[in-house]
Amino acid sequence: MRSLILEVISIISSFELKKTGLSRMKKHLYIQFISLSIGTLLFVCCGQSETIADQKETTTAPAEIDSSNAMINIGGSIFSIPSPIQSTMLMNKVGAEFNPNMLNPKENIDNYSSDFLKALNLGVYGCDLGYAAAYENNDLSLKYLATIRNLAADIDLENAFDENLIERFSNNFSNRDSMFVLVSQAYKGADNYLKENEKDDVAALVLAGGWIEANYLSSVLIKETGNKEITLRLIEQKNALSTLINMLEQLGSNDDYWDLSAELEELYHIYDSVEFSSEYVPSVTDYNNKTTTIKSKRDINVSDDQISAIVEKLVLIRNEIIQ
Amino acid sequence: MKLFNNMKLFYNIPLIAIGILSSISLFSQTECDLVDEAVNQLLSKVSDDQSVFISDGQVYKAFLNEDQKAEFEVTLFGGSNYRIAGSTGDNDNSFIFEIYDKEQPRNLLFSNTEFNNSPYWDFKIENTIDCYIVTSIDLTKKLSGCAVMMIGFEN
Repeated sequence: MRSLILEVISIISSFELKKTGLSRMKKHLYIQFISLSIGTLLFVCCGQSETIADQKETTTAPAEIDSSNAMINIGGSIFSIPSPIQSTMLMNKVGAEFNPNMLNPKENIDNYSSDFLKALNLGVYGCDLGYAAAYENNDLSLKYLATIRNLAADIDLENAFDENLIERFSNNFSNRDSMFVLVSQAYKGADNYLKENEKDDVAALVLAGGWIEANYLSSVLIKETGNKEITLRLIEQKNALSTLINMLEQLGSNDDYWDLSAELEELYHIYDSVEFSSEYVPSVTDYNNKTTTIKSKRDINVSDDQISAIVEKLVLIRNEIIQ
Repeated sequence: MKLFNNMKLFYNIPLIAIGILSSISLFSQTECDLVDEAVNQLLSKVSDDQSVFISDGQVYKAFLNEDQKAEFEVTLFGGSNYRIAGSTGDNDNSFIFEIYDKEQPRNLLFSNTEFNNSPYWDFKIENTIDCYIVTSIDLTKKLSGCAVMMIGFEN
C-alpha cells in the first residue's frame, strides 16, 4: 500500500499545469501542497487499515511481531498527584470551620507576570475553588472560577475554563457533587490539552500548585485545630511529594523549576525522618459489585516536632509562590 | 524533462516525510481523543449504590506497543473509595491494569485479568497505601494502541 502512495505522489509530482498562467514557482508550491495533502490523507487511511490487518494476524502469527519499538508515552512520563479537591472534602468532612482568610486573595492575580507563576497559581486557585465549593460557598466559588478563567486565558487554557463551564457551575449550586465533577473535568481538560501540546512542564506546575495549596490549607488547620485526621492526611503525602519532585525535575524547563524543586526537597528531607511501616493483607473482592477492598495495614511514627517542621516548611513554600 | 521531474520529486521528499510523520501523530492523537471520551464515560458511570466518582483531574495516557507496560506510583488514601477506569478504544476489554504494593517483593493487590479485563473497577481503601499501577494491552486481543486511564474518588 505504501508503494502505491509513492506511485501516486510521483505521478502528481510530474504533472505539469500547462494551461494555467501560474509562474513556475507557484506551480512548484502548488504541486508540493497537493502531494503533501494526498500523501497525508492516504497514509492516515492506510494506517488504519494496517492496524486492523495486524490485529487479525495476532492469533495466527505472533512470532512475527516486531518488538524493537521504543516506548512512546504521549505526554511523557506518567505521574500521579492526589487531587486537592479530595483534601478540601476531608476538611469539610471532619468539621473544620470554613476560613476564607486562608485562601490566596483573588487580587494577587495581577502579581503573576511569568507563565511559571501563572501556571502554579492556576493550581493554587483551583484548590481554593474546591475549598469554597466543599463548604458550598457559592458566591466565593464563582469569584474564584472567574479568577481562574482569567489566569487560564493567559496560558492558552481558555477552552478548558470557558463561559459554558461557569454557566453549568452556576446551575449546579444545589448539587455539590456536580460542582466537583465540573471543576475536576475542567482541570482534567486542561491537563490533557497541555500534555497533548507538549506542555508537560506547564501541566506539572498546575498540579504542583494544587498540591502545595491543599497541603498549606491542611497545615493552617493543623496549627489552629490540631485535627488528627487532617494531620494524618498531611503526613501520608510523602509519596506524592516524592512524585512531585521527580515530575518537576524531569519536566522542568528553567531555573524557576529547579528552585521550587529544591524547596520541596527540603520538605521531603523532613518527611524522610518520619517512620513508615506497612503490612500486606490480602485484598477481598466482591465480584457482583465490581469492588475490591484493599486491606493492607500501615503504621506511622511521627513526633510533634516533625509535624511542626512539615507545617512550617509548607507555609513558607506556599507563601513564596503566591506573592 | 525526466531529470526535471526526478528533481521535483527529490524536493518533495522532505515535505512528504513531514506529511507522513504528521499523519502518524494525527492518527495517534485522534485515536487517543476517542479513548478519552470512552474512559470518561466509564468513570462517570453511576454505581448501583448511586456512588459518584470525581476525577483526580489527570489523564494517564500512553501509546503502548505489544511488549510495553506503563507503570506509575499512586497514593490511595485510607477511608476513601476509588474507581480506576481504562481503555484502549475498542469494546473488547483489551486494557489490562494491575495494582501492586511497594513491599519487597511486591504483592499483587488487584488484576483486572481475573475479571475478564473489566474496563473499570471500584476500590475501598481501609488504610492509606502507596502502590504501583501497571498498565498494558492484552495481546490476545490487540497489538498496540492508545491506553488511557483515569482515577476517580468518591465524595
